[in-house]
Amino acid sequence: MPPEMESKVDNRLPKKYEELEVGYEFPPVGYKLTPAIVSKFEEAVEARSSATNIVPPLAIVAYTMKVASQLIDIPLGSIHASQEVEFFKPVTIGSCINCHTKVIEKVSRTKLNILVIGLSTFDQDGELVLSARTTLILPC
Amino acid sequence: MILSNSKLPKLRPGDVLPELTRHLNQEKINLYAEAVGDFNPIHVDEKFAAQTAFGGTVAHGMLILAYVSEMMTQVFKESWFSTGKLSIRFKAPARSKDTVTVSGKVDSVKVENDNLNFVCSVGCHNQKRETVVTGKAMVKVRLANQGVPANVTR
Repeated sequence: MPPEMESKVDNRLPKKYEELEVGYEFPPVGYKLTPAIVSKFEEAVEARSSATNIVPPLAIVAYTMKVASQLIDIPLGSIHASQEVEFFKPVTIGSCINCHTKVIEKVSRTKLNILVIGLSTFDQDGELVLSARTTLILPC
Repeated sequence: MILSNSKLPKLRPGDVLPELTRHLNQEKINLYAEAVGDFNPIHVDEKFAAQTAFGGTVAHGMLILAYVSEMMTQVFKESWFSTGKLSIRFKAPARSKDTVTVSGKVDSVKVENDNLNFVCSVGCHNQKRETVVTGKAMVKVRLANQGVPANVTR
């Protein structure tokens, strides 16, 4: 997580797959989308069509997923299988957002576990700016 | 709003979206890792990654997804930020020396209320034409900004 965001994250140990219950929602985590954070993301993804003062929506998805990865123990060897995301409103640079992480589905197989996480992000006015659904394949 | 929709192209079903090509390298992957704070060794540790099934470092899936979003932003501008929807499957890793090309095609355009609803097939392939990601992108564009192209379902 970028240093600017670290202080806002819960310091408790991330939950392991076995400890997660379907339907469980983690306490929301908030952070500010500073110009430095956004600028670094735009440089990294070679964004050339950015609108002045608007945060690339995939930056918010990436940071929201990073928050989730600090709440949930995602072991080495895990595979990001699929991703759904829906945007509801543009977010301006400098906005403070809140990320909500929820356990949507767990499927246990012999050699792997499938974990589906729901992510919702709200702006400082409490309006939904995006929702996402991440499917991960975790090694047992 | 800051990014205007006024110059949206009049896309029809079957139209191909402008491709977007990016040349990956370890420096770019490291830059993305720093930007989002994801230092999983499969992305940034070449020695570690060499011993995995991938045989070397691979790009973050979300970096590839950001390229897909960039293509959609170039085409649909502000509408993408407020109504865009992506549903993607990661099919194969993008490796650190790959050249990846994001492409898309308009599957359907339908008029609904005051919007044109676009459904597009999107994907990304590497220089060997191997599919890296595949999926669908949906976006609504206000008719006031677009006008109804010919051959569009009402």
